[in-house]
Formats: sequence, structure tokens, C-alpha cells
Amino acid sequence: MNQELHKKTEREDRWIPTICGECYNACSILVRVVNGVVRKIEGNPDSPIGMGRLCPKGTAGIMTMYDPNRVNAPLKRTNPEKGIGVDPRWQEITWEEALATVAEKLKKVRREDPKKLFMMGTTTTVSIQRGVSVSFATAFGTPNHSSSGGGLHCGNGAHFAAGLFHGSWSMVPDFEYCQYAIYFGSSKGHAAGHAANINAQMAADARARGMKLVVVDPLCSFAAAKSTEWVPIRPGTDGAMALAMINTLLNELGIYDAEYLQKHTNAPYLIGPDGYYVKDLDSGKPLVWDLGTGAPKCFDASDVMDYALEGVFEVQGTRCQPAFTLLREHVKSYTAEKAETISTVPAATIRRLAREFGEHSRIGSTIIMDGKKFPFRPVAAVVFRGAQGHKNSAHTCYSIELLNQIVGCSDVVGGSLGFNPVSFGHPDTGQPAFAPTPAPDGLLCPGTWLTPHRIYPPRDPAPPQTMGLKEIHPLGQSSPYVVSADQEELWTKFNLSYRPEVMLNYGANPVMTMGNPGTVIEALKKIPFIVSSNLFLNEFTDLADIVLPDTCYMERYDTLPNSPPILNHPAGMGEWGFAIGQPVVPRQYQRWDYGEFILEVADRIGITRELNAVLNMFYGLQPPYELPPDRKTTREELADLHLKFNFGAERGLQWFKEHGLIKWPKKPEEVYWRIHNKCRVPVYMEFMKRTGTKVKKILELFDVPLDLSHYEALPDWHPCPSHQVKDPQFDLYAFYYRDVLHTNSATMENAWLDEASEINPYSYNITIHPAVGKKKGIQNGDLIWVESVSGRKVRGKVNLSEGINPEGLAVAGCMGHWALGMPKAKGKGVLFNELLELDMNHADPANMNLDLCVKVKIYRDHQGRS
Amino acid sequence: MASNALWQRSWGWKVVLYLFLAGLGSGSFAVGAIEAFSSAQSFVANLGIIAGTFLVLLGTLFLLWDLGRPTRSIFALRRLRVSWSSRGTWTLTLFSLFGALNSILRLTAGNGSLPEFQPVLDGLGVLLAIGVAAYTGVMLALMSGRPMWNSSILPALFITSAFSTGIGLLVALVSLPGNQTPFEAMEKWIGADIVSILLELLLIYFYLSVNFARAPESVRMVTRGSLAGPFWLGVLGAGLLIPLGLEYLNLTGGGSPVLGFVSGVGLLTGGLALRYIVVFAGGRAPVLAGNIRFLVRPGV
Amino acid sequence: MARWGMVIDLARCIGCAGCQMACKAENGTPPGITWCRVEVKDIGNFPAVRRIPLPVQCMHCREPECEKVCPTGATEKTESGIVRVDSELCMGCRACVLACPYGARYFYEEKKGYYETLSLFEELAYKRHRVGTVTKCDFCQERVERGLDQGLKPGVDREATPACVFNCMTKGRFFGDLDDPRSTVSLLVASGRAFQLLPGHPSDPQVYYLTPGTTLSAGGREDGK
Ligand code: SF4
Ligand code: SF4
Ligand code: SF4
Ligand code: SF4
Repeated sequence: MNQELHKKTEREDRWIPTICGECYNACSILVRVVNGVVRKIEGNPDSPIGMGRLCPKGTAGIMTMYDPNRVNAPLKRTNPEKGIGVDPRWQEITWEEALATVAEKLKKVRREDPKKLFMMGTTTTVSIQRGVSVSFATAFGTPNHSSSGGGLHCGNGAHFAAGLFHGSWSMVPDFEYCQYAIYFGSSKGHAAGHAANINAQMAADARARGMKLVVVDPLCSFAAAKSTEWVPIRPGTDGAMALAMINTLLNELGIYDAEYLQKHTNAPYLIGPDGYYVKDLDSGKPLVWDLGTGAPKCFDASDVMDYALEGVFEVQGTRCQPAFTLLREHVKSYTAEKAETISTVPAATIRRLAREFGEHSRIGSTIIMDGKKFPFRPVAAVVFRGAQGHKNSAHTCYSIELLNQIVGCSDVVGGSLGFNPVSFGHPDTGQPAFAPTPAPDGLLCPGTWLTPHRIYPPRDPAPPQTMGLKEIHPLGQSSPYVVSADQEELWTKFNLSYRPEVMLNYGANPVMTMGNPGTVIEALKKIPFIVSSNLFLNEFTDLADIVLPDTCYMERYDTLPNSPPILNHPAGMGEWGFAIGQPVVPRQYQRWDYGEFILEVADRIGITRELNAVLNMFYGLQPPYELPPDRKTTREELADLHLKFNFGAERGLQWFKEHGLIKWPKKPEEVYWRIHNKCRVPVYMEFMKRTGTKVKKILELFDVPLDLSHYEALPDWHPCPSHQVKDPQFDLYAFYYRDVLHTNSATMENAWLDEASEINPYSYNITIHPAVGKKKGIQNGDLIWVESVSGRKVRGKVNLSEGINPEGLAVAGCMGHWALGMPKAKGKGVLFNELLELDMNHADPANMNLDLCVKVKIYRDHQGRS
Repeated sequence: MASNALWQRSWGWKVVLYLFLAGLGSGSFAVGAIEAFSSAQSFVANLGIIAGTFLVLLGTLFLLWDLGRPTRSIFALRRLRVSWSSRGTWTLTLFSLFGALNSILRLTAGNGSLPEFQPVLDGLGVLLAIGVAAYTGVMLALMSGRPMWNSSILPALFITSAFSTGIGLLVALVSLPGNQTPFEAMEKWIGADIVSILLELLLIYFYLSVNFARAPESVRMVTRGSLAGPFWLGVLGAGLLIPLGLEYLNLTGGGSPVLGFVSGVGLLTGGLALRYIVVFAGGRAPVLAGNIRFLVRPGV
Repeated sequence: MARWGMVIDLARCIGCAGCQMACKAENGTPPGITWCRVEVKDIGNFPAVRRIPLPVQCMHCREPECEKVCPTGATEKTESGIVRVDSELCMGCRACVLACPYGARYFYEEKKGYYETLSLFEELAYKRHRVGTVTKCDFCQERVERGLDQGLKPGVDREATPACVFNCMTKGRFFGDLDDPRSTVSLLVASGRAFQLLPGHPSDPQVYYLTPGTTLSAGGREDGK
């Protein structure tokens, strides 16, 4: 027996390359499998995606994989009543029954109105959601595809700005060369987030090299903890501070990169008195003023000698001014003193930071790379979730991004880099290749994007017929209205011709992640039939009618999750790397990959032909690597074709299963693409104004009062609802942040991460300043209630910390689970979302980003100490 | 926060009982053996030695029970050269062997028929008993990370308390009704106990005041925090002050066997409370990184 | 013979607990047993304050208090300076747990997993641990020695380097031979930034730290208050 065991031990002990699925970064991993059991996960040292190291979640993935609480068979509800704490009384069913039931429901809604299908996906694992799920929605004919809280909370402002200005999903400092980075509500390189793992390595190198890091954040966050200077700002006021910095740079110091502004932005575009571009009458192209010839010219005319940035000109009989002049004049009202009253950051600090930023940018300097000359602007202003998670999301991101544009540090050496928006492709095949292209007005359209919605030029507003009312929010991507409190009222006003009848969810837990769970539950309860593929029975599956047993990432195929590389691929020089996911152990029980489920369902309802066509389009597949139109495909086949199309016939799935990934060096022209690219970026958001006017026309038809003040071409700071609370009892700004130990709500059930969270005084507790504690007689470890103006409240344990603005109250991530199916997560931490309002008044009118900051009061729970 | 964080949880009630019983047993053995030097087979001598041995053995059972792997306890003899725990194990083993032999001889011997080497056996027993009472104190005193233990007063306190509880046990037993031995026979021991009580009070005062400078939170836990009850009522009240008063009465003629019994029981209670406090207040000091204090694994 | 040592750079470390996870995975430690764990603490006063992480584990002291107290000889320092516990000798008295000033030791009290039943992974991983004995970080001795047997260099080659070191996301951990003056760890120890925990304590840890190095700057105040 013993000997047999020994032989068995010798038989299998190997390392298999695949990808991590604990967050959207899909780092390359090696999995050690001993006799069919995963024994260890390590980073794949051969891959630029992770470079052999892993974040805590990545290593802890084993505990997700082998959690005995996972769903192992399809389940159907037998208790028709839905609600919190109501047992759905699950009954195991066969896959056949599950598929037949789902197919039948889908056929019915497709016949009646395909829009009645609502699809949702997690943002934790992006690739299936993006590929198969999104394609299915299109093939089916429904525009209602949404991502859960991960999208609604962070995406709308930051991704939109990164898209407009960098052609990318997100941005980072050029860690290798940057000398001065200022972060607004971002922890890039210090916690979770895009390319977290690689960024952490590069940021540590940058700090060791001496990069100055200024972190503007109400909490001494993961990044602030490592910063050269922490600026503990009042939540939601980052935009005001950025505008005052711009004012200091432009009007007090006169620091700006005129050449960059002339060539790479719309700063020289002439703006008429109506606020719109003055356009060439023949071509319709925006005009600029050429100081060389003293005449207006089309912005892209090749003979412009000297673009005017300042002055007043007369064109076509009207007085007009370059956009830059308008911007410069506009920001004059944002004095550092005014910003101080808004943000609490002292005026002198704002001025100093502006000066430091300007001086470090070394405008005019260049650097030689690979024998070629590039601009060298070693500064970066970075914005992310914290600063943009407010009702003033769009303008805040715009204001902060302008700092980069003014000093010309965008996508040049040392500056603020979008994540890889330009690729020339693999040397053998020239694939995958993409680059931003100019729209007719010269502005940047990303060359590749992660979701189907278009960043620029914005869609034309139209009377809404989508659940998320996206038609009247052409600048937004994730919508609160799919689950909002006022959804029915709005749908009625807009005469939405249908109501959702079937929901297909992949992995998301919208009850926990989108907003107040009660609101979300009320909205979802109205959907008669919900199917959800999940690893665990969670708060959302309590509302589902059928639950499907999802596979863990180590049990399935995934084609190129690092593509397009604008999200999870390291920016800066180095290597391109594209990996695949493959099963490392045979999957157990009746678990199915959601992708397979979708392909099978599509086949059963007879839309395989449509689906395959959309998939071909989505993955850019071209003959001879197209999916066959007439039969159901598989995830393996799709991966195989996708890989061969990109990397040549000899590098199909088989090749990748052995090698795990393909990589090759980046070129400096790819990384520092700005000066080689014709696109301009908008320092003046003329399109905002244009879009706003159109939206207004539509809203008037339906009598919906949307605040349109945010649809302006020049940046402003708009107060959020939390800034307008006058009642002195409500004296704290509550906000949440993302813990390095977790990915939204997806990792909360992981036993090892739970153990580490228990050790960390921040993870599961409510952080307030000791002075606040003293004032209210609250001690470390006390149980308190946090109550919003509208009476919503949550309870949790206090962590007193000097590392928070005394006006602030911070809570980590999406915790506070209550579902029985996630026993490790149950009862741990605090569900911040409980405090949120989920309606039109709490969404950025321009991009729909949810307002994530709440004015609260706190008091001790009567149980006192816990 | 502080008091809970400094609560020690690696050793629990079994170790408390061991420390108490081993101290009590060795103290009572020592009293018996010393008594035996003057009257070899007196009731007090026999009782002290036999009960003392028995109590130490009983305590050792708790100690073994507390081990993760009791069957490996024999390995504890391996490191006599460096480990006080191993030295203690040797002492404990020898004490148990000789104590058992001594007890058997006393139980089986008729009047005046103890072997000639009996005084040697008794004397050796006293030395080993002191070892048993002291080694745990030395072991704890060497634990540099635990300010409440890391104090040379601790072994002295343990020895004094062992002696005092030993006397307390014998006084209480002698005061039991139906006992042949006159209560007066205990007078000299009561006198000795008054001295030990005064010494113990002094030691406790020094113990706490010295520690207050090094581990104020731990001391506060004892004097004002979660251990305050056992300290004020158990150690000081029942264990020291009340017996002190009663014993004084006994010596000055106002005493009686009842009061003797009460003071004996008080002394035992105090001894137990002392071990309880010492064990649980033995939290680890914060780990210093430069001058930043990190409470690493509070409660361990 | 080498003298293994480790250096943890608190300026690089972001307190992610990746090392804690890497250790759990490499060594398959049961619940509650975190040979390596990350503590966090705020220092300073608002706004001149920083959150400082401190990864802690066995310091592999040159004068280990745990070894001195251990009656069975289960705890022993090897020639290469690794302080290890022989799980076949340990009787589980926990004197060492109490003696260690760094809180590095864990008593494996009962065979219990993270869930009601042991998962497949747990069945496989917990095999090396003995119930009723004390465990702690052993500098990934098995991994290091396996690597040495293959002619690899600990601290340089991944396969011969402790898991927490090669995995660290900020490249903030270093391992190597402290007797080799040219090893990275020796150079870092000599850099002037290195310190040991419990300064002045005679245990002489072979795990060194590099100072966080953050200047507690004005934090948004011009007057430095
Ligand atoms: S960063 Fe994300 S993908 Fe990478 S190891 Fe961590 S959880 Fe996995
Ligand atoms: S893995 Fe590295 S960065 Fe993370 S806590 Fe450990 S030492 Fe610090
Ligand atoms: S840190 Fe503790 S366990 Fe490790 S060698 Fe030092 S005393 Fe022993
Ligand atoms: S628990 Fe084991 S290793 Fe620790 S002192 Fe006791 S016998 Fe030694």
C-alpha cells in the first residue's frame, strides 16, 4: 500500500502554466499539481504579466478552488418567495433540465422582445464576460449587458478619462523614468487594481530610485503610506484642488508645454462665442489660427506654421478664441484659496505642489531611446477610484487629467502612461495590432477597448430603450439604473416598452457590490427568472431561480485574458506577454464553465450562427481562422482559432498549453507613442457641451429633470450631495476603499485571505480618527453605528487611526456578507454599500458614476464593546 | 485593548494547577522533612512528606496532561545542560522517586524503625523540593519577552509562596477535628509563616513596582484590570492579610483550631490565585522595530 | 557552511501579506498558523503619519531563547543557522512559544482544517505537520536544501529561495549567506539602514529589516504641524 502510494506520488508532480483568476489582472501562474490535486500556485517567472511574483490573492487561489462550500451541481429554487433570509430551498437538478428550462425561457423572450434579457457579469474575471457573454447578448439582440459594482463604482469616470486622453482603460506613471507623481485617490502600484502585481514591483523600484510620490487621499492609504507626502484631502474635492493647481501653473507660474498643447491637444482649436468649435465651412473641420500666416486653417492642415494658443481672432465674421485661452481664463476663478475652503488643503500647499509638478516636468527636455529622440516629462498626475467615485466624477477626472496635458507628460518618457494603447503586434504576424486613430475632429478614438460602448466620438443621445438609460448617458458605460431605486419611475417616464424578464448572471454579486442591497434586491426581485453561474451560494443567488455550478479558473480554458492589454498589462518598456488559461486538474462534480453553458444555450435556442458571427467580430477573427457558421463551437476551438489568428498556425492551443504564453520585447515607439500619433486630446470638451444640448432636447420630451450643469466644455468642481448636508450631527464623510487583500466581493470567502484580514486592523473595521473617537467617547474596538442622512445604517467595529482625515470615515471593500453559502465571509467586515443611495440624484449626470461618499453620524452601539 | 492583548493564552489552567500543586507539595514536603530532623516520625513530619509527595505527583499529572505529546515527556530529560525546563524535569523526576521511596518507608515503618539513611533521604528531599518550587520561577524569569515573568523576584516569590502554602496545608490539616496532634505543635510553623507572609508581601510589592516601570499595562491588568479580583481578594486578602491576622491571633493566644483552619485554607487560596495571576499576566511585550511598538500576536 | 539570513526592506514593503500567503502555500500550514504574518501599525500624528507594515516570522536568532528553554532538544539550531523544530522529538510543552520574544511559534493543537472537513488540498498539505507539536518558520529549509542539492544558490535562484522571498510583490525580501560578505543580504546589513527587532536584545536575529525611510513630511501643512 505504502509503496503504491509512493509510486503514485512519483507518477504526478508537475507544474502547469496558466492564469490567475482572483482578479481581472490574470497574472501568469504556474500551478503545481500532485496526484491530481493543486498543491501550490506560484507566479510564472517567464511572464511579463507578474514576473514570477504574486499578490496575496493569487497565491491564496487554492483556497477558492478547494472551498467545500462551492456549488457543485445545477440547482433550482422550490420556494417561489424571494427575499433576504428567505431560504430558496434549492433542489439539485440535472444539467439537461437546467439547460432545457433556460432555453425555453430565452426562446420566449427572444420571440417577444430580446431586450427583455438582462445580462450581467463580474468584473473580477474579465475575459469570459467580455468574450462569450457580451457576444451572446449581441447575438441575442439585447442591449442590456452590464457589469456589477466593479464597473459602476470605478469605471465610468476613470476609464472614460483614460480612454479620451490615453486611448486606454487606465493609467500609471512611467515607473521606470518618472520623478514626481501625484496620485488623486489612487493606489496604483501599492494595492489592488490594474496590473496590481507588476505595478507593485515597478512602483517599489521607482520609490527606491527616488521618485517623489504625493498622494492626495482622505485616508493614509496603501499608496499614501509609502508616499513622500500625504495630502489628506476632504473626500470628493480633488477636482477643486486640481483646478487650483492648473490655475497656479497657467496663470501664476506660466508653466505649460506650448508645443505639446499645439500639436497633441485641441488647445489651439478656435471656439466661437457659443462655446462650439469654429469649423471650416467646406470640410466641417475645426479651425485653428496660424500666427505664421495670420489666417485660420483646418486643425490638420500641414502648413500651419504657428498655432495660436492665445488671442482673440475674427473668423467667419465672429469673434473667437483658442480653447487654451478659454481654459486659462476659466480656471482663474479657482484660486488656491478657494480650493482650500473646498478641499481643506492649504492654499500654500496647493501652490507648492503645482510648482513642484511644473518644475519636475522639465518642459522642453528630451531623451534618446533606442537611438531616437523622445520628449522627457518625468511627472504624472494619476486619478482613480477614490477621486472619481463621486457625483462630480467626470469633471474631477477631466480636471486631474488636464494636469498631464498642460505639462505635456501624457504617454511620453517619464510621464503618465495609458496601459499599452499602441501595439505593432508580434514580429511574425503583426497581431494583435492597434493604435488610437483620430476622429473627424482630430480627437483620439482608442484603437481597442474592453466594452462594446464607444468612448469617442460619443454616441448620439436618443430616447432610451435600454434598462440602463444609456442612450441619454452617451459618456457612461456602467449604469446604476439597471438596479436603481427610481428605475421604475424613470422607465415609465421614458416609456420603456418592456421590462426585464430573464437575467443571466456570470459570477457577479450585484446585491453586495452595486449599492444599497435593499434597493438592489427590490429591483432584482421584479425580474421573474434569474439564472446565475457562481462559485458560491451568495446574497445574489438567494434571488436566483437557477444556480449553475461555475468552474474555478484552474478548471477551464481562457483565451488571451491579457488582451487587449489596456487593462492588465504592465505599461512602460519591457515585454509584451499574452498567456492562456487552461485547466490544471480535471473539473469535479458537475461544474461547468459559463462559456460552455452560453455556447450550449445559444445552440438550443438556435442562434449559433449569429453568435459565431459576433464572436468572429469580437475576437477579430478572419479567414482561415473564423468560427464555422453552422455549428456550436467550444471554448477550446475558439481559443485555438484566436491564438492561431494572432500568432500563426503553429501556435495554436496545443502550443500554448505547453508554453503558457508568448512574449516579445516592446518598442519605444509603442510605449511612448504620443509624438508619433496624429490624435489630439480634448483640453476643451466641446463634445460635452454638444452632447449635453442633445440630451437636454430628449429629456424635455419626457419631462425628466436631469441636472445638465455637468455637460460643460470646461472643467468645474461640482459639490456632491455629501457636501451639501448642513445638519451638524452628520459630521463625517464616509467612504470606502479597496483592500490589497481582496477583489471586490469575490475573494471574501477565501479562508487564507480572511485569516490575513483578521490580523490587519483595517480590513474588517471602521477607521476613524482618534480625535473623533475622543469627542464621541468611542474607543478602539467599540461597536458603532454609522448612519446616513437618509437613515441608512451599518454597524461595525472601530479602528482608531491617526492616518485618516478627521472629517473622514473609511471602510474597506465589499464586506459584511450574510449568505450562509459563504461561511468564511459571513459576518466579517462592514458593508459600506448599505449607506449608499442608488438613484438619479446620486449619479454623475454626465457619466452615471455612482456617488460613493456619504455624510454620516456615528454613535456607539448599545452593546458597547464587542 | 491593552489588558486583553497582554493576556497570555499558551498556558492555561492545567499549568496553573501544576504550579500551585507543585509549590504546595514541595512546601509541605519541606516542612515535614524539617520537622523530621527534630522528631523523625512525628505526625507533622509524616504528613508533610507524604502529602507533599502526593501533591507534587498530582500536579505532575496536570503537567503531563497539558503536553501536546505526553508520551514524549521522557525526552524532556535530554537537555539538562542548557534548559531549565529539562533541569526541572530532572529535579521533578528525582523528587518524585525519592519522595515516593520516603513515603513508602514512612508508611510501612513501625515506630522507631526508619532506616538509618532516612535523614539523608529527608535532607535530599528538602533540596529537591526547593528545586521543584523554584525551577518554574527560574524558567519564567528567563523569558525576556514577558516582562511580568522576566524578573528575578519570581523564583523567590514562588519559593516563599510554596513554603507558606505548605505550612497552610499542614496547619489546616492539623486543625481538623479528631486530630491527635495538639494544635500548639504548629506554633513554630505559624511563626515561620508570619515571617514568610511578611516576606511575600514585600516581594509582591517589589515585583509590581519594579514591573510597573517595565510593563505598566500588565501591572494595571493585575491591579485594576481583568486580574484585579483574584489579586486583591485572592492573593492579598485571602492569601496574605487574613492569614496574617489570624496567625497573629493564634500566636498571641486568641487563636483556635477553627481560625487555624481558616487561615490554612486562606493560604491555599492565595497560592492558587498567585499562580493564576502570574500565568495569565505573562503576556509578551510589544516587539520593537526601531522605536515603533508592534503588538505581535497578542494573546500568545 | 553558510549562515542563512534574511533582510526585509520596509521601504519597499506595502504590507500586502503576499509573503504570508506564499508561506501558507509553500508550507501548507493549518488554520491559525501563520509562520509569516504581516502586522500593521500607524506611527506619528495626523497629518504627519504613516502606516508601517511589519512582516514577522522566526528571526532565526543566533542565540535563540526558544532553543535554550526547550527540554527535549526538539528545537535546535542547525550548522547553517536555521532554527528548526524536530516534530518527532517535540512534546508540545510550549515553553518555546512563551520564550520566543518575537511571537514566532505556533502550537498545532488539533488536526482541523479551515472548513468542517479537510479539503483535498488540506489533506495533501498538512501531512508534514504533527499534531501536538510546535511549528514555526524554518526558512523553507526543505526548499533551500533541495535547491542546494541541485547546485543552486539560495537567494539567487528561485528554486533554492524561501517562498516569501521570491514571491514578494515589491521585491522587498532578500535571502542569502550572512557569512559571505558579498552576498546581497550582507551588503544590505552593512548598508546602514539595517536594524534588528528588539534593539539591544541578546537573541541576535538573523532576520534584519531596512528602515521604512519615509520622512514624515508636512503632510499637506506648510507649517509642518
Ligand atoms: S493581481 Fe490579480 S491576477 Fe494577479 S495574482 Fe493578484 S489576484 Fe491574481
Ligand atoms: S509580500 Fe513583500 S510587500 Fe507584501 S507584505 Fe510581504 S514583504 Fe511586504
Ligand atoms: S525568533 Fe523565536 S522561535 Fe525564532 S529563533 Fe528566535 S527565539 Fe527562536
Ligand atoms: S514545545 Fe517542543 S520545541 Fe517547544 S520547548 Fe517544548 S519540546 Fe521544545
